[in-house]
Amino acid sequence: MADRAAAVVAAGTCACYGGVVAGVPNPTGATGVLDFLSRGWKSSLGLPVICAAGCPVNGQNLSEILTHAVLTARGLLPIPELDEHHRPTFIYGAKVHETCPRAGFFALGVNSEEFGEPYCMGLMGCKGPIVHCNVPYRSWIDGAGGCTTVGSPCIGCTDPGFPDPPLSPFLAKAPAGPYIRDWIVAIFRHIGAGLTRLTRRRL
Amino acid sequence: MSEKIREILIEPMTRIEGHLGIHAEADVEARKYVEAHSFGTMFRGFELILKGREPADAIWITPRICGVCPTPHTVASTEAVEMAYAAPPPPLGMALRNLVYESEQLYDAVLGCMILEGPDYSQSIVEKLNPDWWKEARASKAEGADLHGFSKVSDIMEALNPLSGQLWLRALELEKLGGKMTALFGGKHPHVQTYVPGGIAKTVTATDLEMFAGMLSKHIAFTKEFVPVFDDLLNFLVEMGYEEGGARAPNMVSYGGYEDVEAYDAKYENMSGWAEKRKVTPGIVINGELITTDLVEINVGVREYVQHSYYDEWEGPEVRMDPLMNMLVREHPWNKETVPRPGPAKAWSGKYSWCAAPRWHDWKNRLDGGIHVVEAGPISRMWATAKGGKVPESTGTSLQFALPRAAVVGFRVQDETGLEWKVPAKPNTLERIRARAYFHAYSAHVAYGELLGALELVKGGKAEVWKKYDRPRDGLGVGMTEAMRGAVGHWLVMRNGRIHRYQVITPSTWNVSPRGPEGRPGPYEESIIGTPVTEATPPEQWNGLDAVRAVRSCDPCLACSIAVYIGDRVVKRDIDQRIRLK
Repeated sequence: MADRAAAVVAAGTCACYGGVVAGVPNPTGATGVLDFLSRGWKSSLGLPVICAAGCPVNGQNLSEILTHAVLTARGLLPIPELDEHHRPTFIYGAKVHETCPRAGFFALGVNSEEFGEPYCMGLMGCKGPIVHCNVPYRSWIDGAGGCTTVGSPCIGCTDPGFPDPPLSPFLAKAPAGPYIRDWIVAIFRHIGAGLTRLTRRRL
Repeated sequence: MSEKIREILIEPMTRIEGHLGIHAEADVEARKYVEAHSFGTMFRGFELILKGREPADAIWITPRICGVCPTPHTVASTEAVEMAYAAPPPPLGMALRNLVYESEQLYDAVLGCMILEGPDYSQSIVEKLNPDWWKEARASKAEGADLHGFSKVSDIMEALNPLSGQLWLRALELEKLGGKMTALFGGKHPHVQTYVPGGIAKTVTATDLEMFAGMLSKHIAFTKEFVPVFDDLLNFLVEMGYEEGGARAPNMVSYGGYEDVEAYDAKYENMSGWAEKRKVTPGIVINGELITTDLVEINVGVREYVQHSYYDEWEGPEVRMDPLMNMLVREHPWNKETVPRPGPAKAWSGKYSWCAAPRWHDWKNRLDGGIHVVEAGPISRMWATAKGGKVPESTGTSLQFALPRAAVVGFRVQDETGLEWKVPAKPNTLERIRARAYFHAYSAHVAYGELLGALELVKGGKAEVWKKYDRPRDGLGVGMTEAMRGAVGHWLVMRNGRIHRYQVITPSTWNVSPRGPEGRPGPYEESIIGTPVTEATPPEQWNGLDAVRAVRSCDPCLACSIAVYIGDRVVKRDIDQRIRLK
């Protein structure tokens, strides 16, 4: 079937990378389409495997990725830009942490310490700094839901490593490295932005 | 095979999730099914994936068993972990969790009745294969026309046509709405994100509660049309003499669901008490009579056998007693080990299914001390709740409740509406579907009460949704609840803060069960045997429609797998990443 396909879009993390059923110890030898067909594989129209990741993939994201594939196949759009795990960057380009509605609280250093609080979930197990997904700002369905949006930690279900460490244990804090890196970079940027505020307006 | 017997193999069972196969034999002269085998055709090994992980991870991993009814897995795993952690939620935390769970049932009942089962009674099937029904339907007035707007039964059948029928299309919209309601407090759906031990990870605002009320009123308005539509369709089919379709003896199991927010304390020692306060009553029904509503007794009586399944026996029992000092046997899920052992396909006298055979043992000798084949599903829980007398809606022979007034654009009935689901004579294809439609109405009724309760808690200043806990190192947990398709149970043994053993028995496992140790067929098999053949085509063209209807009335769902099969060869990946055909 793959030989004759104009495009192959894997829908959901299991289809993309193996997902939960390929979780350690992967009792059935489950594998995703990306590894099954290989990363270098191209469809008859020259498209690589496109991964619509997520467990499950958000419905609107899937619709947009499929529509893009159809428009590409018809020559109306270029091949979508993909990240290293073959996810379209127009959906998965940003980290959860970067576009999360609670990111402002993180920037201010305000963290939830109990479930139910409206602040950054970074100390409650959120894996946002190491996961690429747009659901928190897009919401789940028509403005309702979104994982960190409503107050639950991101568990990284759009990532190839799901559900194994470091994404799990899901309530364990994310590795400190990415947080510290972000924090150091942010300090310099804040200083830069602060100094800029002291200069004359340009517009 | 003699000429008098027509053998039919349906594999995969389509429309929902295709890892179910049915083998049936019909007697051509008697026009009746005389033999049946149902079998699961996949193995994924969730129990093996869970071993060694932190127990709370099960809350996010186990719902992924199934994307159609994931939330009850979330409910069961959260309660199992809460029991092991001794971490009960505050009342509002439980109320919001109930709203998530009830919302999923609203989506799922519509999906089951209109999309998964309805098309079997749509014009597109009936006109072709049951032309005599179609002729009658065109002449039969629909009793509830004032409520739902379909003047003849044939109009309802037409509205159930896939992809074009008015009811079929409307169901998609209501399903999506149910999903949105679930996502509101659940973060997303399928696979809600917010359940945590000790409560819910949701920042609750007035906006959420108001949005929920608005969406719930649409489902309340819809159910006032939905139930009469199915009453009219199913009553017509009863008149057509379809009562033997899918019939089996009334032996059923319900674990109960929709927790009482004040009573639930996550303690096994008190489970008999708090589980009886659920809005859906736990119960074992044998020969139509409710023999117990005690969830501890139900738990201790659960057995799982593998004589006809592709698994090896296991050692044990390791856990000899439950926390109340009741003896546990080796076949109890707290002791069961999953040891896969693939074998030849369709060996009907030996092993033929990837599904195990759950049974219920009357260990307190309430009836006969026997091992019983019990079916799970909306009919089982409605039956237990109606007979149980544990909720004010229960009359002993029916479940009586009212839906509040709701004026919503696009819906026909605004007024407060009373409904009554009456316990039928026995479970059959039609009554299973009717129970599912009424369960939609009952869930809407319960969710309305739940919402008022949540508002009351907020007003009273009890707005906490989560309570901190300390994780112990060892413990036992069980979570038993109801998915749309019936009883779902999760059993957890925690050692050194990790999962030592985790077992799940899904509702479809109860129903799809192959022969048990005593050789007695499982519920699907029993339902098919004795079912009449209504197909008007010659026997050599029979395609198993009535067997399919019987099985689909239980809403089979065997959840997806990504193992790739090519005929009898399984594609496996080698350690060196090359693909080889085995």
